[in-house]
Amino acid sequence: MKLLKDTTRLGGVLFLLLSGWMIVTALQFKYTGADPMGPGKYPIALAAATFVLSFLLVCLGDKKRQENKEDSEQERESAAFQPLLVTVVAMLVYLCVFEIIGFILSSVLFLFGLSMYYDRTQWKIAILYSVGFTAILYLLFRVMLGILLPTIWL
Amino acid sequence: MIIQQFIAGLGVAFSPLNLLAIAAGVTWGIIGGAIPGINGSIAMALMLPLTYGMDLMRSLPMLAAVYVGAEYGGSIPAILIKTPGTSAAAATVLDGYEMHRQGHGGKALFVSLFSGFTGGFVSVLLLVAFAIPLSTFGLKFGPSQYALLGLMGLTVVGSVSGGNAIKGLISALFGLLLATVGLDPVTGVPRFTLGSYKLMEGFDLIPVIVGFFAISEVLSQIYHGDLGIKIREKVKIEFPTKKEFKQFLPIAGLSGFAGTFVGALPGAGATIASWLAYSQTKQFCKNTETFGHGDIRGVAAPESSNNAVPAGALIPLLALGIPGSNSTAILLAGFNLQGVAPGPLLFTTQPEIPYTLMACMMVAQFVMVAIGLILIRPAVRITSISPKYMMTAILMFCFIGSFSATNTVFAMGLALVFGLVGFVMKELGFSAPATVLGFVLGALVENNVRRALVLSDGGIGIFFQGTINIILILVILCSLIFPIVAAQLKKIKVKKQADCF
Repeated sequence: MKLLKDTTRLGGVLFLLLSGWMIVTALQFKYTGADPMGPGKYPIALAAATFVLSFLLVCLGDKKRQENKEDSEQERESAAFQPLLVTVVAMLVYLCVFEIIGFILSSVLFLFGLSMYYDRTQWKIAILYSVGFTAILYLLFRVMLGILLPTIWL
Repeated sequence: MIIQQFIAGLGVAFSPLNLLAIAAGVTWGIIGGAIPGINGSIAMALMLPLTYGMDLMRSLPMLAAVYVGAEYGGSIPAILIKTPGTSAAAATVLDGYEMHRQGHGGKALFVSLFSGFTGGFVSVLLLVAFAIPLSTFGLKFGPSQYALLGLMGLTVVGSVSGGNAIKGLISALFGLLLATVGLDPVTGVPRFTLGSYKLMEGFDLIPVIVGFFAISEVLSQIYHGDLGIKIREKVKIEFPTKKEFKQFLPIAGLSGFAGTFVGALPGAGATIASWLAYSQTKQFCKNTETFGHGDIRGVAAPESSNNAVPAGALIPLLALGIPGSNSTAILLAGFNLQGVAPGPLLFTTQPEIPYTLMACMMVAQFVMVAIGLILIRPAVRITSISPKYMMTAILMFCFIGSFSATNTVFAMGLALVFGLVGFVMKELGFSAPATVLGFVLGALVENNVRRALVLSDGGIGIFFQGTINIILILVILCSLIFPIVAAQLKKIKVKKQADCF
């Protein structure tokens, strides 16, 4: 729990784990050619440097954190987890249905859904906005740039 | 020869389609810069997917025009509601907002626009003057010099990113590591692909850039409940008097020089440029007791300087192929998307590209004035659109932009993943922009490191040979040591002050 509150050390641990994984994975790259570096040495060097710096970060922590403890606690109180979570879930759902129901329907639903979540009273503006902005994107990407966007009938 | 090339570039810049691209870029830059929460890099990141299918001579000027427009756009909310649209406009708040309070908001906006134009104009002239000699010097660079140059850019940016140099460096290294995902360019061995064929080509530029810059910023604003600020002010441009013109014009000119110089330094950016110009103007001008109380010079200096940064930042990018800031990293991405590598060879093999870009930067300054005068009111109105609509619009733009890169939902998923990673990094105090810079420079650094080692039969001594290499290594070491020394000096100063009391 203490680690979760210490963002510097938490960040250090995360990068320690990532760089450690990358070193182990890079050591397993199979290569028997003539190139002196091979595929693994360069990423190993980078990951090793990251590992060392992350280790330093975990050991040293962030001395400023103690001074700014009050500020960070106030910030956490005002942090909005629910809107963030809802937005991320909405984005995931959007990606899942994008190719199934097509660009137009999925985008209108995504924009309308999030707009209504943020403000339920302005449903007329939400409809106008979600349809209008989807139309603008369609014009821009499909008509002007020729990007093939998925449609429900294909 | 240079003038002929530049004039030819102007001919391309003045073609109707190019003018339209520049105007679109400047317009979006002004609007994006005026919206607090969207800075120049985010505005450019959002524009990047649109340039994917464009001609090179249109896409790069459009991206550069966004950069130019955003530096001015940030001053609009700074003057009207004391909230800089970009961090570079923070210095403009001091006198700009005071001028608005005194009923001269329109004048402050005009001075900001005209000073920005002056600074930008001066900086493009310096770009033309210095890019070519620097690129000639860059022709002497071999693989080891390029590798060290790339690392120098990263260590300088990494060590000044955020408040913690170690975190900044880790962020930059993370970017370099992300760039290793995919097939090894020399041996063809898959690296970190997790068994997926979709990662064989590595990560596409657009999802990385929109994810780390735009999506992470939106998530951060939602998380902190900071859904933007509306500008409800009514605005009308007001022209300064002849006496006021004589007051601020020379300062705008000189600040343009300062901004260009700062812009050319890796790691320094428009924020440093604007504060430097403000503080130096206050130090060296007469009768500066009015600074901070609505002095027209207090608006002219930072605005000229921060508008000079885009062209200044193009000097190392065009001459050496090294971006020194987030925005030029996106420009480099723009080059890469078009299959062109900026650098000294470009001036000899395809000189029309850098000269046209320089000419377009010059034209963009004039277009910025025209659009700034005409569109100031609509721009203010657009910034007052409800933030919740703005945020969702940005998310949509990022997703469709990512889809357009590879026509796959996988790219959209990557953008979301990088957005989440960038958000977490930001919350933990790491620097997502340093990561993007590392990613963009990753291929350049790795290819040159490996080429250098092939030349030296695997010996790393090649990186320590030659005066240029020694200088670059010294700069790298200084950028690593400087934050530590600065922190220690600050501690000593604070301790001395405490002892005095």
